Amino acid sequence: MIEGRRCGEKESFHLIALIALSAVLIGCSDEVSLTNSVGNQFIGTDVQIRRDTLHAISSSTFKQFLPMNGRVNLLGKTGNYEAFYPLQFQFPQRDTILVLSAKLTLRAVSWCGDSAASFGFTAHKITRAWSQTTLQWDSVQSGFFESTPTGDPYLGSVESDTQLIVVSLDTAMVRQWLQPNTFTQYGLILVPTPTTNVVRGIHAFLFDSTQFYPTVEVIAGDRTGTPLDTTNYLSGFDTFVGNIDNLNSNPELMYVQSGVVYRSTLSFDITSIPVGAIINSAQMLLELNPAASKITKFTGDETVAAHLLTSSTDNNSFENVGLLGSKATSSNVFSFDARGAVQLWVNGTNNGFLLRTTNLSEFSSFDLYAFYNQTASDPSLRPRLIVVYTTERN
Amino acid sequence: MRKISTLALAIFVTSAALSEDGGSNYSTFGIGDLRYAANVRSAGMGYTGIGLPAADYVNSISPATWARIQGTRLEASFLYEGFNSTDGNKSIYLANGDFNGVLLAIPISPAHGIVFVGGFTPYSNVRYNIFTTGTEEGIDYTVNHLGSGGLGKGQVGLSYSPLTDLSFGASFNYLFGSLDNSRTFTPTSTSFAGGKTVETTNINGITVSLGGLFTSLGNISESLRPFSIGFVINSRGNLNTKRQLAYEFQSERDSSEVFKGRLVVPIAYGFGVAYQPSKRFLFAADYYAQPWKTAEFNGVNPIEIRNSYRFGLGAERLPVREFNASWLNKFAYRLGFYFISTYYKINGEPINEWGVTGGFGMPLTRSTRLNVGIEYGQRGTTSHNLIKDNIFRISLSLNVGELWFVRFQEE
Repeated sequence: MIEGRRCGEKESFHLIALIALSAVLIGCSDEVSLTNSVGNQFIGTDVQIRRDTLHAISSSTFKQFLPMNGRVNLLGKTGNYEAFYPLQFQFPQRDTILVLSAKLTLRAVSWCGDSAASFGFTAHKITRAWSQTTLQWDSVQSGFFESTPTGDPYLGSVESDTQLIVVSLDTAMVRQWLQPNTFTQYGLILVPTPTTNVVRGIHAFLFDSTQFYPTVEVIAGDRTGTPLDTTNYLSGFDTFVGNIDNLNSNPELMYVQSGVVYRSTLSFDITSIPVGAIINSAQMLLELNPAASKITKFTGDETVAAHLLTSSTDNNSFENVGLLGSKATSSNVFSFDARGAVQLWVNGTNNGFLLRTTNLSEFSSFDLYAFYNQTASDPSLRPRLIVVYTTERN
Repeated sequence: MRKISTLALAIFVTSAALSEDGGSNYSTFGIGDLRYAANVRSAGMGYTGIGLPAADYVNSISPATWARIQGTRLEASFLYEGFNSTDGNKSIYLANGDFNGVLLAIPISPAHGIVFVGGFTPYSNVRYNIFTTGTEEGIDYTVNHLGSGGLGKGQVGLSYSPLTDLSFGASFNYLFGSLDNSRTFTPTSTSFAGGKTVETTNINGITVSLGGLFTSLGNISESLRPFSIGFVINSRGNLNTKRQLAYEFQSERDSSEVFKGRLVVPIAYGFGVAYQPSKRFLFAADYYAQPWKTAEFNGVNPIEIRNSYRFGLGAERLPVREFNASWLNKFAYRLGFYFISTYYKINGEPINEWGVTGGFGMPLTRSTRLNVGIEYGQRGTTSHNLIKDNIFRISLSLNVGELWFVRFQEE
């Protein structure tokens, strides 16, 4: 009995002592911070920060036809720019119909060129199937549409920034459109007249309110010619195709052209930055040549995108998300936050940038940005990359 | 009884492990803080043990001492370390708790002192955490330098007694582990991005330990009968290293190629003597040296590395083995002192460490003991812009004996 009580006392002693020690140990250690850190002088490796300005080593501008399929479709001519506007309506079957009149209404929302110049176009039947996601300028050059126009031409001018353009359509053609079970139609392409010297932007299908869509108004009658109903059709698809040749006229410039398109590549030599360096910041600066650029007043944000090229040979291989560069109001310098790009180049492959306008502009306007390239006679105008980076110093 | 003690031990170990993972900033040098502990009994006796025969303890430093082990013995230990470091202006207390090794001894032929021992013990430890600051190119920044990891020692060996009072031992030691050094650069302004570099060095290689123990000095002179002497030699080790850098940037990751190299750990040797004048008292003294000036870190001998040595003095009041002895008399009580001339000098200042140790061994069952070691020491100095560590250590081991694998002669 006495021995058993002694054993019990020992157990209690073990337990109490170890638990008490545990409680002390848990709460004892400090959190290391800047204010209480000791032993700084033990660190043999410290860091050094450098700020370098790197200059571009190469650039090029290339033309590439792309499907537009944007929010605004261009139609017209100005200078060497030209834009055609194809559109196709989708109609229900109406067998016993007499089309008394058919009018196409377009809502113009922008213009570029000479606002005082005349604006006109003719409508031509498209002769084969097409898609707004694949049609390009080079697709429409041979046999795409009938050379003889259909219906009346439109002859007018820029009366206001936002304007309704109404043109009569050939009623026989529209009657066929209303019999899709019998006749196959591919829509119309609107081609600017030779005297046109302005390009208008037309509100597209499938964007924003239906009240802005292209519309065909059909007044149908009975066999005797009595008007029976007026119907507006606004279901369809459209795009535009645009072109300008020989844009690279100044070897000191690189061009970024919407609506056609022209894009540019730009490369910097970052081999002076050691592998493993931490890129603290990197700012790419491009100087705009305002005289060689054409940006319409309808472009809200003057923004250019720089995409990382992922191939050294294929300019179509680039990162989807690009760096957005913009400028201050009173400046011609576009600034890009290129920190992430330079960090990837330092530790990987450097294929440079692809410069293009942003999606909103590239597929809906003829905006042109002309930047000085690395051959600019004034060195202060050349593209530069200001990099701040940190390396270890032993 | 056993369940409660085991539970209490588990609570202690868990709580200590939950303590902050900090250590001494002196572990930035070389391969970190070198671990030298034969076992917790040795730690309580000033880290002596080379010349100490022991039937109930497994000594990781001197393989010759295994020859006296009669039954299968498992020894697992745990270490808690706390460092109160000061540079004369600021001070900080950092602590960590960690598993400190396990050794299993299996007698193959007790009559001939043939005992097999295998296990793992720590060889070095890196645990530092330092902040530096600076301003360059108009950018204010802090850098957090963190070190972690260390080397472990996997050990397998045998002892042999050609004579009753003479034993030898040898072990193969596989040194392995990784040393991680990370540097996190953080600019004060959010306009600039920071980043982190982690340098990982994986190390592995083999050394060999040889030891001898002679316990019959009475044959030379009767006055020497209470003495025993021992020696140990650890071979030079050519360790393979593979170093790689990993980068973590704001949203990017990368790593470097692997750089192969070599780390040469120098030969080490030690001598120990034990003196047992009676059944209850035991004294020991050890000397152990390692010429680190001959070490090579990828072909380079760093300027801050120097030769090291240590000596220790210890005493033990041995327990009473009789069953009817009082509970406190069944304890072993230990006391000791040690001095270490460490293997580095900084800013021309040699860094030394000294400490006083104590401890006890508590019987849990007839063949199982709980050993506790407590230690207080100091290392370094605040002169020459250095730091001084006040060191507090608690070591714990569970020493379990079983009659596994022991053949009994049939009558």
